[in-house]
Amino acid sequence: MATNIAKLKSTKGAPPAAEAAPDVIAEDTRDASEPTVALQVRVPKSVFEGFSEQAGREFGFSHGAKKKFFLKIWEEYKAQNM
Amino acid sequence: MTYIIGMVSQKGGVGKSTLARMMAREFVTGGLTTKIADLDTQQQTCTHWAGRRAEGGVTPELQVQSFATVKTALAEAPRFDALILDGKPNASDQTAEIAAAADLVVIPTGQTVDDLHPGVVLAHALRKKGVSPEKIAFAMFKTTGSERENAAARQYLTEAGYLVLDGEVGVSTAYGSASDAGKAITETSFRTLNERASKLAQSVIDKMAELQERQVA
Repeated sequence: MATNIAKLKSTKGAPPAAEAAPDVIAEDTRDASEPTVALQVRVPKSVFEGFSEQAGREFGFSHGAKKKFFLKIWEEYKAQNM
Repeated sequence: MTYIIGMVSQKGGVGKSTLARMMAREFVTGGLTTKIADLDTQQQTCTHWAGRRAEGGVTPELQVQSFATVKTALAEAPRFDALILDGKPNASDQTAEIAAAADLVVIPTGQTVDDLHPGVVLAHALRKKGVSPEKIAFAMFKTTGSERENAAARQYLTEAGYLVLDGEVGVSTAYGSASDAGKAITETSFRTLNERASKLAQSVIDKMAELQERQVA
């Protein structure tokens, strides 16, 4: 009968190597599943038109462009100030 | 100077808030003014617990406040000797912000690979964000009575390149009951359990002192 040395071995296996491990912070997509709420503001018409035009240029003149543009600005603001 | 400790994890329910509350209790008992910044505005685990503590008249009184951002929590830091940042579960930008701001980052983990693996992956991700591995420490939570399992879990984390704090918090109904009553895990009705938890708290303090000494040197 072969000697059983299993009891001397780690039961956990090897931990993931740093280089091979996924970057779970960069790849975090869970925020996308957050519930959304309406953000309504009243601004001068010229501001609205300028904002809409820039949003369209950056994200296409389609539904959701202003939202994407706002979120982009918000992320940039957070990166610089928070 | 304010000591800042961050409690982070990739999984929920591993012991972040439990650890935050214990450390707050130990700091305050030792004479340090302390605040827990509860950064999980959806769960507010520590905030609700503080409510139970106040209702039950448990002393010492502990300060817990909810914050939406790490930045606003850090603005409170100068008013206290110690600020404990209790983060949301799941790795996110907030996790990286907590780790960047903290003097010591503690990742609580259970002893199964289901808990160990995501903890190590999170620690690796924090390193990629520039967080020094020296200020990352793992705390063993929900351990069973198996010395072999405990040793294997510690070996797994050590092999991954991280410090594992001394002491551990085992699975116990008494810890849960204490939490329900607004008490920390060093405030149960059982001296042995309190002492075990206290060993972990002491290890956190020792590690913070060591990091501070290195900064001074």
